[in-house]
Amino acid sequence: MKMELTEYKTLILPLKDKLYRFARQITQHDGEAQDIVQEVFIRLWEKRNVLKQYKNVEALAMVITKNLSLDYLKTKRSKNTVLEEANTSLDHYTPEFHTEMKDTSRRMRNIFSTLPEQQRMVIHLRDVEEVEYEKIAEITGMSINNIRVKLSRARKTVREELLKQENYASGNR
Amino acid sequence: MHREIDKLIEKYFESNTSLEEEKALKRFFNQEEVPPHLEKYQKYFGMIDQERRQIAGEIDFSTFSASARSQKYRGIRNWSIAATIVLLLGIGLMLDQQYTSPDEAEVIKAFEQTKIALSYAGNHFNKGMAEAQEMSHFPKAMEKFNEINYYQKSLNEMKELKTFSNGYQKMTMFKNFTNYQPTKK
Repeated sequence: MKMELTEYKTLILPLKDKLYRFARQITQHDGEAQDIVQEVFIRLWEKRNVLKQYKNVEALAMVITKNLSLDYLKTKRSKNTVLEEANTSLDHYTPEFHTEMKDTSRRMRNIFSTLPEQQRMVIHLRDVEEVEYEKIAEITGMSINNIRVKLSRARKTVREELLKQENYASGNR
Repeated sequence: MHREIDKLIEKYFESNTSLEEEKALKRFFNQEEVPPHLEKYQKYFGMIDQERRQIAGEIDFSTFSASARSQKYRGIRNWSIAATIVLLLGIGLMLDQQYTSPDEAEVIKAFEQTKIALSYAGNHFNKGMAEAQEMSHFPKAMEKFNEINYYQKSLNEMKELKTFSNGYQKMTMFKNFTNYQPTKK
């Protein structure tokens, strides 16, 4: 039943970027998201001998990521700190996308950050990670009906915000 | 085709599209050319596509041993261990105090000292009482003293008497002298 590091890596490492994106989406903070992913890997490593008993290791990893990210938000809110500008750094994009994303990514980040946490989680899991509703329910603990409602709201808000920015940009021209 | 896309978009914003339909939408909008009235959605799906391209930094496996902990969260854990120890010590001290709190220990000490002091005082009290009983002899002593006084008085009186007797002797001598008459012969 014992799991060696190499075996562990092949099982968990493919999840790394997905966990990072999820943590980043919730926390809206690059550095924190990276720390959370590292912590998720450690927590799963501590569970390594029972890890195979889980039907869905990915869902487990996502739940841990979600909990750590929400914990971070709670602490941050209690500290009442302002989101750093560094959040929008492009350090974690592949270099070929840096230039084209500078504008759009910043905008997207701003739009997503205006959404409430649950809407942010749902739109991220569905539209960015293309996760089935059942799995989203498993990760977020929300009902599928609630997920559909939140998702619809999130999509419409993003669309409206984009239109606002379009109008603002064209009005400035 | 475009009409179908319009329909799908409507469904999409009501969360009624399947994953497959959503993938079809994304594919459509990631093309170079889209009809002008759908351009705004090109930006929308383009941004979502970019979100998916974010990648994480490397995971540090160097600390992955039997009980691996990241620096940051290890710090938190150490603090919680320290806090727990402090808490347990605090509870332990509190429980300990319930049995022998400094106050109670002092009270007991004070009680012991009071007891010693009282017994000491008690001894002295007894002594004092004995002495006080001796004091009851004082009136008798005073009586004796008075007797002595009286004796002194009598002594003085005796002295006066002595003087008197001396005087009397002298007077009788004088009387004898005055009574002396030379014999007529």
